[in-house]
Formats: sequence, structure tokens, C-alpha cells
Amino acid sequence: MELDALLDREDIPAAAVAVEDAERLRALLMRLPLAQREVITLAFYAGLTHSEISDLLRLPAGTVKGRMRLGLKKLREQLGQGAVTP
Amino acid sequence: MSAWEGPGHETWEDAAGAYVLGALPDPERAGFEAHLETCSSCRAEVDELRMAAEALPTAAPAMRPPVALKARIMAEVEREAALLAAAGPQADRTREAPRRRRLGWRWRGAPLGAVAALACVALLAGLGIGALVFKDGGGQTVPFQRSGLPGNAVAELDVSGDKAVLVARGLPAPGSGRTYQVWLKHPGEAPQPTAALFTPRRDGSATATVTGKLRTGDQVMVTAEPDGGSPMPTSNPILAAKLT
Repeated sequence: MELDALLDREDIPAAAVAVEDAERLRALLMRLPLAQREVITLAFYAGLTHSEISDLLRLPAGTVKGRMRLGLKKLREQLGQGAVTP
Repeated sequence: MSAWEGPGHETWEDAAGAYVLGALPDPERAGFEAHLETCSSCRAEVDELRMAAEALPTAAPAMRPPVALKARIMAEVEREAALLAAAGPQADRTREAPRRRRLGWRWRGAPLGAVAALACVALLAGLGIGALVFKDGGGQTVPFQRSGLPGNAVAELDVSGDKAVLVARGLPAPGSGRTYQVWLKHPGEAPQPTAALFTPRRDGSATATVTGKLRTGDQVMVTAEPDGGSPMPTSNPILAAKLT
């Protein structure tokens, strides 16, 4: 419960993120392994579902989802506001 | 950590990333949301990953609407597939090679997965997305007139330079053993076949790349033809667009 309460206050890093300039975020994105970056960008910027991406890249759905999760996790860590470590 | 896992947690272990990216298909999203109610471990992860996902628009604020983007990515993948096919063993004879042959490969080709992956690598190399996706216009977009299509069918032609991309939604399947073919008609001439043959994806969306000099007054049309395409149209156009 304590952790949940902490997470609820996580709008502070979110606000910090909002003023990050695009350059820095792009650099962070570029630091992700390509395998993770491509599934994240295909999902987020192109609006593809994980099953469409798995069709497109001929990868098992579990792999696509796993890469999304790992990539976002890494991105979150790199955002450097790391109040939360699971 | 103090979080506990809800029932069936193993099933949902990888879903949080896809969920915050909006990449879970509808029924799965509902299932995961139900699981979230009972699983504090997944809730914590969703909250954490969401922060990363929320940062993504900052990286590319000039985002186009997803439908157009999606279509463009599919178009680019298909274009890359054709390019790579051309760069095969006979690469130096590409120009003379019959275009229909290459196209057949492209639409039926087993290696498309690898090709698509490569295309995505190329596509995403710049930012993870690429110039194509955020190309700054310069071209012209022409809506297609429809004929005999369901009311939700829409199509437009993005013309830039000597290339045009047809982007459609809500297209019915052309029927078994049939394909859609794109034609180019110069004023006062018979329609010329193009190498652009396509069938809509399951969701009715479709993209096709038309190469060739397009001038004011030219018409681009789409008809349903037997598989492999025809030298002359054998049915009435379902879509037609005139360049102005």
C-alpha cells in the first residue's frame, strides 16, 4: 500500500518529462536496443497492435510484448527520475 | 516489493508494456484491465511503464494520426520489399526485369517477414520512425471518387515527385482469385496497367505504390482483376482520382 501511495505521487517525474526537450528523448530512445525500439515505435507512433507487429516482424506475440515491456522499463530508468525501482 | 500478484498473473506477465502503448487488441485489453483490478504487481508495473510511454510524444510531437501513419509504414514495408526483391541475384538487370514478376514475388513472397524486419530497421533508424513518416509534405493529396463501394470506404492518393501512394480504408476483398490493380490514364489515352496490384488487409486497409510520371489531368484508377493483373481493365473502376 505504501508503494501504491508513492506511485500515485509519481506525477512529479511526469512533469519533468514534459519539459524534456525532444532531442534528449530521441537520444534516449536511440539508446534502446533496436529490437525494443522498433516494437515501441511501431506501437506508439504507428498505432499497431502487438499482434499486427508480430505479423509484420514474424515474431511470436510474447516476444513482441516482452520487448515492449523491457524497452519501456529501460526508457523509464534512463529518464533518470528513478524514484521507483521495482 | 510489497506488491502481490493476482490470479492468472503468469498469463499477463508481459502485457503491461503493450497496454501502456495502447497495443493490446480490444478483447485482450479488457482481460488485462480485469486482471489489473486484482493484481497490485501489474498495477505497479503499468504505473511505472506509463511514465516512459508518456514521454514518447515529446520525442515526436509532430505525430500524424495513427491511421495515416500505419498506412505509411505498411506502404514503406511493401516498397522496401519490392526494392529488396529487385536487389536480389539479378540486381543489375532490375530495370529490364518484368515488373509483374517482381510484384508477384512481393505479394506472395515468403521472405517478406525478413524483408519487413529490414524495412523497419531502415524505417526506424533515424528516430525509430524515419523521414518518411514525418515527411514534410511538398506533395499533393487527391481523394478518390468511389463507385459501387460500401459507404465506409475511403481512399486517397499521396502524390510526391514521380511516386504516388494509394492509401485506402474500408475496402472489401476483391473476391477469390482476384486482386485490385491500379491503372494510370493520361488524357485521351487508354488506361495503362501499372505494376501496383494489391489486396486489402484483413481490416480493409490497403496501400499501393504507383511509380511513374504523373501530370495534371492524369487519372489514377483501381479495378478488380484476375490474380496477376490484366493488360487491359476487365471491370469498371471502383476508385478513380484525377490529378489537378
